Amino acid sequence: MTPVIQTHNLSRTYGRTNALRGLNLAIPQNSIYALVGPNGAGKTTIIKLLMNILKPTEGNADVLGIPSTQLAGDAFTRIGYVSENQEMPDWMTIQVFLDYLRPFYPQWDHTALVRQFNLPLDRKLRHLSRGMRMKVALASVLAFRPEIILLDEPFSGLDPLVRDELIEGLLDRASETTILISSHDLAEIESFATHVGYLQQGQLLFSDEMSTLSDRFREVEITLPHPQPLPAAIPATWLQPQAVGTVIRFTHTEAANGAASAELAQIFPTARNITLTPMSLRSIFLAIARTEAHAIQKGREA
Amino acid sequence: MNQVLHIFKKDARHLWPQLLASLGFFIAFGWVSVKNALQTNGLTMFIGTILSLLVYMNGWILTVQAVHDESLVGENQFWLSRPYRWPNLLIAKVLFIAVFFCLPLLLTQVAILAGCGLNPLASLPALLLNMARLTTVMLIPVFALSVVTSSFPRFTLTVLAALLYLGLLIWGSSLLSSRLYLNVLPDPYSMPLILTIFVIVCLTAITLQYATRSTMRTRLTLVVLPVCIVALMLARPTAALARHLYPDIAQASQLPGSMVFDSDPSRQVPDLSNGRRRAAPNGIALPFNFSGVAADSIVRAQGVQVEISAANGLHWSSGWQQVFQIILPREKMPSNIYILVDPDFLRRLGSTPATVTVSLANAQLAAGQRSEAIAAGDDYRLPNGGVCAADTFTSALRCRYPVYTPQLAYMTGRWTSGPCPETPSATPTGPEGGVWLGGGNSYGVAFALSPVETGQLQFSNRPYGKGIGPSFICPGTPVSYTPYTVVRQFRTTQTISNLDLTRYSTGTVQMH
Repeated sequence: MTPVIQTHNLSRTYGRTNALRGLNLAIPQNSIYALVGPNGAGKTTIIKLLMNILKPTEGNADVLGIPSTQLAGDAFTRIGYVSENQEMPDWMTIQVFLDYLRPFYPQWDHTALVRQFNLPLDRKLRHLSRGMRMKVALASVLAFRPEIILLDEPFSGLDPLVRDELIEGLLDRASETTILISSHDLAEIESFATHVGYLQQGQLLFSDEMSTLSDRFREVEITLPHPQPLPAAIPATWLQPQAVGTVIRFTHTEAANGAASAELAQIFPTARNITLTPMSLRSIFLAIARTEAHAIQKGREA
Repeated sequence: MNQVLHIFKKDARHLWPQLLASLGFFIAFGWVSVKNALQTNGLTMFIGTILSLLVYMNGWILTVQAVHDESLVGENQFWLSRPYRWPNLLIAKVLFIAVFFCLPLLLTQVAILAGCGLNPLASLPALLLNMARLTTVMLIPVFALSVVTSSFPRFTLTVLAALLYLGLLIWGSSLLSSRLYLNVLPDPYSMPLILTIFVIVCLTAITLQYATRSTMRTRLTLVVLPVCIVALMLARPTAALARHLYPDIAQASQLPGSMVFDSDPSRQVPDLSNGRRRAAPNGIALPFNFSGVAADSIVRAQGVQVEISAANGLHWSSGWQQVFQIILPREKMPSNIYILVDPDFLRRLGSTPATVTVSLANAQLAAGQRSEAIAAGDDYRLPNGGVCAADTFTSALRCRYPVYTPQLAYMTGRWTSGPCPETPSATPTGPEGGVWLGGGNSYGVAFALSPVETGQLQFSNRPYGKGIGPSFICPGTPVSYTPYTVVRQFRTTQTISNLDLTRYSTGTVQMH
């Protein structure tokens, strides 16, 4: 499928800080792509680069086939953007705000959205709660039926009820649009994302379909007859290997095919028991994050 | 265009309280300006000054607020991800300033002219030119600073920083060269050139910021601009300009008059009361006698340059300094030429005899058609469009002109210090007097908001400061008016030897 967002070696520095390093990303059409990573990983930077709010230091990105640095004017009738930090014209009421935006777009309909999100039209934006502001922001994007919606931490700090309302509003349009959503909380997006990318310290550690990811990662536990140290050459596909007494545990990153069990049996011929357990998305990310943190620590010590 | 109007309407809706206040300022300013132009009054002059300031500040605040409604600095503004076209956004902001500041100001100025009995329609081109100048100098820099700031407090801080920067730049350049302030021969090229560069750079910065939002690059452009202007002023080829604009007349027969240094000791600068010379001289006043100017013309000295050298090797040369001195067609007209001189040089020179070469850049003006009229009513209407009336506050004849000071003219008439008689007198009995008017400011009221230029006329035979009553040109009084126009410009040079400059030095008096 043709990606609607594609980046090549996309990088951005702030002074001497590398906020984003050589990002290569492809987001297929009609997917819900969750960009996950801890705070400061570079998620907001990516989205702002894609929106042409920031300019890349190196590399490039295409959004709907348009180089991101050329995105302007009419191109934004096809792209919606919602951010937790967006500054709105606070002096406007919701009604005035929606009416003001309407003439900028060839198609616009906010009537159903006002009802769906239960928006108080006569309330000024400056008097709205955080949850209500996010609902207005999302409604003002969904109203013009964009081909792509970029959401930067839209659920951060929201109560579960509002979050569910926003997700519901998004999913109503999921069939006709591509969604890129950033979050530092896996639980927020695990239930509806079709693709996921994990970003840490400006680098994309992996990017995959959710279903493939669940298939690939397994928690491995090997029980041996006698205590035994870890093998000298540990494969790169084993994350966080630990030997505790007669038990060896690690996360296998390529356990999608049945060959993994046979491979492990070959390495540990005396093993009494080998179990491969499916992992939750949260466990997968924790394993990846800890491995990376360990590697960085080792790198610093070296 | 739809997008332009849409953004414009949004700004007007947002800023309506300011626009209402703005309307009030314009009405009050117009009313007070008419009062001030018609009659001098201390209180209304003070109120007029305050209102001028308010109108200026109102223009600045409206500009800043309109620009900041879609701030160009930052990454979180809602409009960045909306289908705004930057040229439309820029045009909408310009339209807002034009409609809510320039247009009301223009209408106020038209009303002020009409209220002062001056013809606004005849002055419309001058008013428009004046508005362009006002916008260039007052609003474009504010617009440029607004596009590189995100809020009004930040704008205010930036203005303060910019003023500090300009102050330091001017101070630094004054250390580098005193030519910046002294080398000011009037020429028709320098100011338009500097203004053109100023406008082009500011407009480029504004457009660049709207097109690319490269704030750092735009700020850098604005930081470099004053440096370029100061460099341009320092590098101004005044000597070449003087040669070009004021060609040297070698043959005395071609001169419209003669200039001779007067060595009479009575015309030296007098000693201080204790018999000492000035301890901190900063200039010299050289006495000259001018003669031979034809009856139908005058000569106006516009610039002076001096070179001083002494036998002990000391040498100093001034740049071209501005003077404004009218030399009349009168036999042996005495007059002093004042020249600023480096105080250190004067101190080192002391009373050592020096050779002084004085060059004057002059304009010869020929008398035009003399018109004579009989004054009618309380206001005397000048042929150049101005109107004069007695001012009870200053005891002088006060004239008002539309936008520009008129061309240089000489007016004669019999004025009276008492109230005019009920019935016009065919033979006025007051003293005959003459007065020069106009010819000073070719830039009009470019930097003032009121379109009325006022000036007081003190007749030649009228004593100053004697506490006498106001001057009246009573109805029925014959008045003559002779305009003068420049027919040629030329330069004259005279060398004076063995001069003790301590006898001609001026400056501050130091107390010991």
